[in-house]
Amino acid sequence: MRTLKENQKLRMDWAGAGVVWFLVLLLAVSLTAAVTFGTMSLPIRDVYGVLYYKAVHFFLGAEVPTQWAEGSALHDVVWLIRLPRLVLGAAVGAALALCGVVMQAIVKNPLADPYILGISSGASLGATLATLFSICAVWGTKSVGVMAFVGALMISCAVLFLANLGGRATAVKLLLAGSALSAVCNAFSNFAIYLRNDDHAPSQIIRWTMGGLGAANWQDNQIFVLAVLAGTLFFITQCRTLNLMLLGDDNAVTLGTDLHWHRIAYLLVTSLLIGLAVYNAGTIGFVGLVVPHGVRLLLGTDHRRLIPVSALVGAIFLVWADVACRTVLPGNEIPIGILTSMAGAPVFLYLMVRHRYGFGGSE
Amino acid sequence: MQRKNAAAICLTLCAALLCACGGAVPTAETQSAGSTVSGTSESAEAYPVTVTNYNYAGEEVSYTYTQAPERVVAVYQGSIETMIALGLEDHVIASYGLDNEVKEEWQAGFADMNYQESVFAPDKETVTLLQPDMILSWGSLFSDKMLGDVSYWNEKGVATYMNSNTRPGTHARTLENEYTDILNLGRIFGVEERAAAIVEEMQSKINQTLAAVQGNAPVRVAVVEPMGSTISNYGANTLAGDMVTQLGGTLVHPDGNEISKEDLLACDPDVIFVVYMAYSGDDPERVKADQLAVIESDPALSSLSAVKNRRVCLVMLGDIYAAGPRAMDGISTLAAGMHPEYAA
Amino acid sequence: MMWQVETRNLAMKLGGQQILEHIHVTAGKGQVVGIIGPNGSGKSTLLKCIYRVLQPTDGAVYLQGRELGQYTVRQSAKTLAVVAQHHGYGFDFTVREMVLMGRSPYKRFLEQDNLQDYEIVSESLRMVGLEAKAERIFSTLSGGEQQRVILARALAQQTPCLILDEPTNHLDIQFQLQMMELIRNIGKTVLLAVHDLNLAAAYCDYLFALQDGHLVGSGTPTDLLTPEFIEKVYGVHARVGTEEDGTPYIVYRTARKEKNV
Repeated sequence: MRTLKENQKLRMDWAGAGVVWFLVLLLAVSLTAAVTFGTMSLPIRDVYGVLYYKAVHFFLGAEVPTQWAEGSALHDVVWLIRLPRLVLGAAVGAALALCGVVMQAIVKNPLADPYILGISSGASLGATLATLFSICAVWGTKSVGVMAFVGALMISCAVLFLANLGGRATAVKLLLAGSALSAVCNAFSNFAIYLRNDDHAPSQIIRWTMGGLGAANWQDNQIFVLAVLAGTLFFITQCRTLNLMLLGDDNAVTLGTDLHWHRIAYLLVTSLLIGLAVYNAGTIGFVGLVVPHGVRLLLGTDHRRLIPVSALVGAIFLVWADVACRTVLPGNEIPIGILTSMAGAPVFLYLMVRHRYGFGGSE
Repeated sequence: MQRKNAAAICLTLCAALLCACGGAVPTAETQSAGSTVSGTSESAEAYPVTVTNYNYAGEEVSYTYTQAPERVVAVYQGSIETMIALGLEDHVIASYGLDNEVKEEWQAGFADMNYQESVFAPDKETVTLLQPDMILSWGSLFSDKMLGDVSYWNEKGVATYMNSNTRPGTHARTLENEYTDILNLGRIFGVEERAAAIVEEMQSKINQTLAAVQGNAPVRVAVVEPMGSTISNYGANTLAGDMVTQLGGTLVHPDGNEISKEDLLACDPDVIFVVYMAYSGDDPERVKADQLAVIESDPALSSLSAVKNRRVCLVMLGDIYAAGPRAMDGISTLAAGMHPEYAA
Repeated sequence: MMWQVETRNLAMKLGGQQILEHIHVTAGKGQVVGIIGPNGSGKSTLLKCIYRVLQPTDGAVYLQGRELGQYTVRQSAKTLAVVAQHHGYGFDFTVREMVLMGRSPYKRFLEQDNLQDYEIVSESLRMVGLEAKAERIFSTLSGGEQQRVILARALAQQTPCLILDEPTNHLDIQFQLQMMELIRNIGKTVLLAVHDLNLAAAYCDYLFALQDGHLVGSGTPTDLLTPEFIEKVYGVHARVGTEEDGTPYIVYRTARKEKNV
């Protein structure tokens, strides 16, 4: 009897851990494979030559053959353009999927995406103001991203504040405050564009909001990747509470957890992550919605599996989505936000129809 | 026509919605800019040459050239045509992004430009592998999601030059900027004489026109571009607006990037210029007719003096927008429309 | 005697309306105490005040002699488990995952579920007769089965006290009786809101009756459930009989029966 149960439990744990390790491996393989794809075709020997000598030089200080050395075009393409971009893609994908899972728990709504609480509108407003009025110009080219980050953070704080007025924030109040503030932000963005009469600005803003990984560089990546790792670890520690969150405040209290402060903390962490993602890559749709649901479909709702697996699947998904962006039309690059929505939505619908997936909404 | 579908879809999405950034189709015009220039490209000025241009934040940036760049990547219509007009096609290793065919007189030079049809705007990776020593383009190419800002390239020893009128920010787009760009490129490549001649020709066209119409009341002009349900207005801050003013005209609607039919009726300009842009796949004649019809065939606008007097004229977008040496065509078209009695 | 659950002079105002006033309710160790009263009399609100979802506007709740406010939420969840009236959840958990959540008050930061937790879960599921459906998705179960899963979750909390809000709703008669039997024999202090006076009479040690937010009576079922009392509180005529074992039972007099008398 006992051994049977023991086996059962062990089997569950090992299955979960096995999936996670498999995905970590798959992510590593994906990154290594994806680096050979680009708008220009490079010999695979050259690509790995650069990476191999980069590592050898870093660890052993060995001499690097000139065609692969720092300053060569090959080195620049592989090390300064392709790899940071892939790493950024993986980090953005992980952040979006992770925040999607958390947002869906926070607002107890399976249709929530990372941008649902006004974050993307806040970011767009920030970007618009930066583009139109050169606010934050000290940051140079980064001013748009910085302002977007600030906008995203300010709006999510405002949503939190509004939802907490007159009693504690509930999922419904958060959603309402989020959509109301989104509308306000969008209106102000449009008003600013209208007032400014600058024929360049709207296309610049659209191009920016569409999202893309082309701006990747190692400095920004360092901060972002660390933040995503820290965020994932943080939410892994919060799995139990996230599960309770889906049952609602009342149930959670009777099960020994007061969700109020948890909810605020989670919102701040997700806003920070999404703000950084927006700063680095604009808004990329659908990943935060599709990946968590896909994973739920296959592995169930328990956040102990959902959190790490979603983050990894999101990362892998975006790495390959970006490869597709650069290779589907030779020489041209499709904005990744367009591709994720174009590819994500049908896959999502297929899964939904095929599995009669009702998000558990039996009522 | 040069462009592949995908790029066209992406770009027309932006462009169609939000005022184009592009060139135009060839006109029937025979006047040639640069025809009077001597073929010499020798310069007395010694390198290094320091030239001031802009970064993507719209700030001034200086770059010092120790020699004439030999491996130039030229992107978009104006960049390509400027290089040919200056006789610099053999300095170009690759070129991209034509909205329209280059003009007849530049076709010979264009053959040497290594034009890439498959890609509309090259990405960072492509440009890096080309190992250029200079990138000549519009401001938008240096956004962080396209090639990245100029400092990245400058630090690698790649010079960058963006058309001044296309630099980001809310500044006036002027003819003066177009002159400056042509003269700057003249200095960078040591072909000042030829550059000066191109500018000279434009200035003299303006001066001739002004002299001819001296003493006349200023012509009241609107430059508009019908776009679906709205009509875009080219105000005082646009290149077209600056051309009109320099040619002795007055803009009836100097502010605002849209004009309502009611405003148009209230202003009742003497001349209306209708901007057109034929994207690849469009029939240029059809586009022209459609654009004209918006103004000429609308019963609500039939009382406009410009319509009644048949003074609604077409002007190609590429001639009045970041035009480079094509600005000459824009000036000629506007001058002819504003002062038909003196038109050559 | 120290009451396991006690409310002293409890009052609750919601949206300017007085829902509860001067409520004294007590449950002693091992007792099964029923709260009866018509719909809208404040039964659920009273229970919510006790299980901390609502904050009473006046008065206080005592758990094992200590005021509820002195407990952390985690502590009170180790003392008091709740089977609330169930509303569907928007996400799919398996039955086992659902019941495992009953173990959360015992879990420290990052602590994993251990073998003991799994055993407690299996045992709880066995008690409600759903062991075979442990891997089923919660939302695919029938309303009655869902109710029993929630009870299993409350059992997994291993608390001395249990609160149930109309636990027999949605249940077939067979399961109503099973559920009440289970509650009766569980050896916990139980406070439950009951709709069905016959179930209340058969399984409760003591009853409190609410009407319009006021306590209108209390006592053992035999003492409290008189025809007069039922008419006063519910506005129906009833006949009260007694089973062989002494439990009272109630037969309602419908208009048709009245006519025939």
